[in-house]
Amino acid sequence: MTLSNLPKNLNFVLIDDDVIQLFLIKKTLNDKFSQSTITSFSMPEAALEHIYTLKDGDFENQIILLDLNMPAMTGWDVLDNLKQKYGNNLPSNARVYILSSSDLPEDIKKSTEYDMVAGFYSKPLDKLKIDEIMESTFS
Amino acid sequence: MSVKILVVEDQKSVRENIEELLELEGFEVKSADTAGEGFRLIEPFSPDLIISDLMLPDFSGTELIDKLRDLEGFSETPVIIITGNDKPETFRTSMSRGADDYLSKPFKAQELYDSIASQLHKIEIRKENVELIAELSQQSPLPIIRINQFGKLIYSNPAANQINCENFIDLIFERISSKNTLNFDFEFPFEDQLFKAVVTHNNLQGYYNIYFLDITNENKKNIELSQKNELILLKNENLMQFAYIVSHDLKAPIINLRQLTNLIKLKTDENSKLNSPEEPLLELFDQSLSKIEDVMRDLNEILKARDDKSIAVYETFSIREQIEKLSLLFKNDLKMANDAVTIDIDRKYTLNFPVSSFNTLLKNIFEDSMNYNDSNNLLKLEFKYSESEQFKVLEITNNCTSNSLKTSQLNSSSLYKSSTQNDIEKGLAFQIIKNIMNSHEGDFRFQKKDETGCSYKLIFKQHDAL
Repeated sequence: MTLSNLPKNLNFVLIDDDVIQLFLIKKTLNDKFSQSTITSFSMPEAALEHIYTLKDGDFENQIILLDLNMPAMTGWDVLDNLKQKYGNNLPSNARVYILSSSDLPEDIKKSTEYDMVAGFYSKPLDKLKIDEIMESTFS
Repeated sequence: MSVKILVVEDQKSVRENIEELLELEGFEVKSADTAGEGFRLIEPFSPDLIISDLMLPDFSGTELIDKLRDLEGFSETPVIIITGNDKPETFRTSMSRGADDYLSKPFKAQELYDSIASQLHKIEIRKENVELIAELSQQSPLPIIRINQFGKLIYSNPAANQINCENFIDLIFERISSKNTLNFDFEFPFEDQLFKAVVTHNNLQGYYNIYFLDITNENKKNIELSQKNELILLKNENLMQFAYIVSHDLKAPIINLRQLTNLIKLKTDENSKLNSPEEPLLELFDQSLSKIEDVMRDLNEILKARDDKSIAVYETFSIREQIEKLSLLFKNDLKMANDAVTIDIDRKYTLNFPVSSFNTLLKNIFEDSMNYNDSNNLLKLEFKYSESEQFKVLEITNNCTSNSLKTSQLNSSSLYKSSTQNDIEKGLAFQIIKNIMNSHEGDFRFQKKDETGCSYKLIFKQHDAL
C-alpha cells in the first residue's frame, strides 16, 4: 500500500475527551494526509449526532478513531449506540479503530466482540500505526 | 442343617398331609392348629419359612404375618398363604399384607414344593446379598447404620461407634419422619465434627440405610475458600481500579507530554541554527519525562503480572460453581425428557473438579433422575475419570448405545468391592447410588469400559410401573 493508492477523499472522525490528544492526532493525520477531512469531537454524544447525519454514501472512506475511557459516555457506549443504529456493520463497511491509552487485555478482548471494530491501537498514534490502519482499511 | 418349616393349619387332615409331604423331602417340620399357637412356636423353633392357612379360628393368617414382621429377626421370613378361598381379591389382600406366595386348596404336592423352592432360593440370594453388603459395610471407614421403619437400630458398622449413633437415633428418625421423600441427606453436627447423613430407603425391606460422610474438613475448607474468594474479589476490584488509574489517568497525560515534547524538539531542531537558549532546558525536561515513562512501564508490568496462588484458589472456587451448573444442566435435561432419560447426545462435558465434590456430583445426578416416574425411563451415562496431581477428571458422555438391561443387583456390589481396592471414595459413591437405585426398584449395571479399570458405563432402567 502506497500513499498514491489511497483514496483522495479520506474522512476521519476523531472521538476523544482529551483535547490535547485530539490536537496531536489531528496534527499527525494532517501531516500525512493533508487532503483529508478530519472532524474531531471531545464529546461522544456530539460525534454520534454527526455520524447519524451521514448518508450511506458518506461512509465511503470513513475512518472512525475512538477513545475508550471517556467520562460521561465511554467508547463502549458509542459502539453500542452505533450497533443499535446500524447493526453489526456500518454502512459501506466503514471501520472503527480503537485508539486508547489502555492496553489491558480485557479491553482488547472486548473490542473483538464488535464486528465494526477493525483494530485496537494504544496511544500515541504514530505514522507506523497510521500505515497499519490504512493497510487494514484499503487493502 | 435341614430347613425348618412351620405349618399353621386348623384342618387336621390338611395339616398332617402337608407335614408328611414336607418330611418326605427332608424338611424339619413343626405345626400348629391356631394362629396363636403358631406365633408362640416362632421364636423357640425359629423357622426358615412359614406355611399358614388364611382363615384360622383365633385370628387370620394375614394378622399372623403382621405380628411376625414386628418380631425381631423374623421381619423377612417368607410366608406362604394357603386357603380354600380362591377369589382374586383374597390373593391381592394376602400379598399386599406381606405374604410371599399364595396357594389355593386343593393344591398338588409339586405346586407346594415349587413354591417352597422359590422362597428358599430368594432366602439364599437375600442372605448372600446381606452378607456381601455387611462385609462391605464392616470394612467401610465411614459410619453406616440401618434403622427399621419403626426407628429401631438394626445394624451399625464398627466405624459407627465413633459417633455413638444410638444416642441420636430418635433425632435421625424424627428427620426421616418429617421428610416427604424417602431418599435425602442432611447435615448432622456431632461434637466438633460435621457429617452429611445420606439416607436411602429400601422399599423391599422397608429399612433405611444412613451413611455418614465426614464433611468437617470439607466444610471448613468451603468456608475458608469463600472467605479467600471474597478477599480475592476485593483485591481484584482494588487492582482493577488502580490499573485504570495507571493505564488511563496517569498514562494519557504522559503520552501527551511525550508527543508535545517531541513536537517542540522537532521545532527546535528545525531552528537549531538559532541556538535557542531553551534547548538545554528542553533536554532536561525530556530526561525527566523519560524517567516518568520508565516508572509507568514498570507499573504496567506489575499490573499485568498475576498472583498465581490467588488465581488457583479462585479457580477452585469457580470449579464448584461449574459443578452446580452442570448438575442443574442435567436436571433440566431430565425434566425435558418424556421417553428415555438421556443427556443431549451431542454434548460432551469435561470437568476438572476437586475429589471431595465427586460424591455430591454423582449423587445429585442420579437422585435427579429418580424424580421422573415414566416407566420407560432409561438413564444412560458414561463416565470416565483419571487422576492428576490435584484433580480427578470426570468425563460424562451419553453416546453409549444400549438396550434396557435386567441384571442382578449383585453386579454393582461386586463393582463396589473391586473399585474400593483403588479408591474408597469412588466405591462409596457407587454404593450410595446402588442403594438409591435399589430403593427405586430399577435394574442397573456398571460396566467396565476399558482395562485401566477407571472407565465405566452406567445404565439404569426403572421398573415398569405396577
